[in-house]
Amino acid sequence: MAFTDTGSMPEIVTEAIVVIDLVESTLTSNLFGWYAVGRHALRDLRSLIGAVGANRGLRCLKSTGDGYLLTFHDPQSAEMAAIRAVAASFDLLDRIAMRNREVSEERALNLRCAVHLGEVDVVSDDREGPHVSLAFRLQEISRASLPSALNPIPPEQFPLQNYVLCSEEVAGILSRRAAAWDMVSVGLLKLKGFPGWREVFRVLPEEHPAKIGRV
Amino acid sequence: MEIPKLKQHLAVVFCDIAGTSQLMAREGDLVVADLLRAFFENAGRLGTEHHCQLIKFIGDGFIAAFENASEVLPFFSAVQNLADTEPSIRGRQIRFRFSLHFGEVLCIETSYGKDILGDHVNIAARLNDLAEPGQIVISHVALEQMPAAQRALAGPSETAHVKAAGGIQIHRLALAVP
Repeated sequence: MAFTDTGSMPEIVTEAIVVIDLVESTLTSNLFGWYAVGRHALRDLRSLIGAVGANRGLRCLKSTGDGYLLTFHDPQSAEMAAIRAVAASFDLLDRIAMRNREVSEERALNLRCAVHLGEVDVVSDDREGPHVSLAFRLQEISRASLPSALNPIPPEQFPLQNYVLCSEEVAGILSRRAAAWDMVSVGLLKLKGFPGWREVFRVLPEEHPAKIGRV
Repeated sequence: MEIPKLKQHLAVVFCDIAGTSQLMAREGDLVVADLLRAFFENAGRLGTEHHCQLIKFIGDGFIAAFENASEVLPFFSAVQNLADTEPSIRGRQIRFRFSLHFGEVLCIETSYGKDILGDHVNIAARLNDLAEPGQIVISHVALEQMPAAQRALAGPSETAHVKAAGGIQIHRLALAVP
């Protein structure tokens, strides 16, 4: 079947983009089975995302294989969409922590979340554009990225899982409009395909020891 | 283990290769890998020759620090000359973007080697984004640390808005293309 895109230009909207990666999902599926464990984990994750996003403007929920691409929209304020996206990410991490206490170890879910805000093309139930790519680049940042960063936090202070990273744009919005969270700069990084240096932030949950100084 | 820290006033420099993406599209990733290998090897050697305190390679560029700002321009010229003298780089339409800033930084020993931290590192990096290929962007603070003969080469002062640092006086200097 040939795919063509000769129709009208896609709608362009400003949305908060969240990329969620399920940590070691392939390894878990290989070890314990896709049908026994893997697919349930992804379905549970999808259902939890639906629950945390329902009243926060979740507009797109697209599988990426081992995670999800989400977007949040607010018709009144794009900045509020970013704040709701961060709130939804932390709500999701809380619900997952609760779920992990009740399920066997191999069924536990652990996530890496990245939040960015920018203009995207609405293509069916998907999103396209450089801001989507940037959100994916943010999500790929790990401890291993820090030696290539400027002003990096010590690698041992970068969590392995269950954290929220955000772009400079989102950090700026949070610092102006959302007192609930603090941001810690992870460092300045070069993101593949994007020119220049970009400061990447970790958003700290409301009650977090790392809020006291740079620990 | 307590990591020893040392505050020092250093000239912080950045170098970024312009044109690697186009080169990769044109000639493939093996050519670029070969070029980068030669570039890193030679830039490391030149850093040692010019008394560089630290050099850290990042992507297709590097950050380096010098105690003496007067060493920086000769170092940049030597790096730029690689485009003419190094067989893996010569004839590949590769140019360099350089930036130079001066300020107090924290020198630390990390699990991945020596590193420098501080706001001045970020400023030097952001200045690099302002440089055109074959050009050096120098903060006025850094220019003041350079000998008169080198200062005379710099262009007029202009104000650049640098994220998190506000308006900064900068100067541009074009390196001779080999």
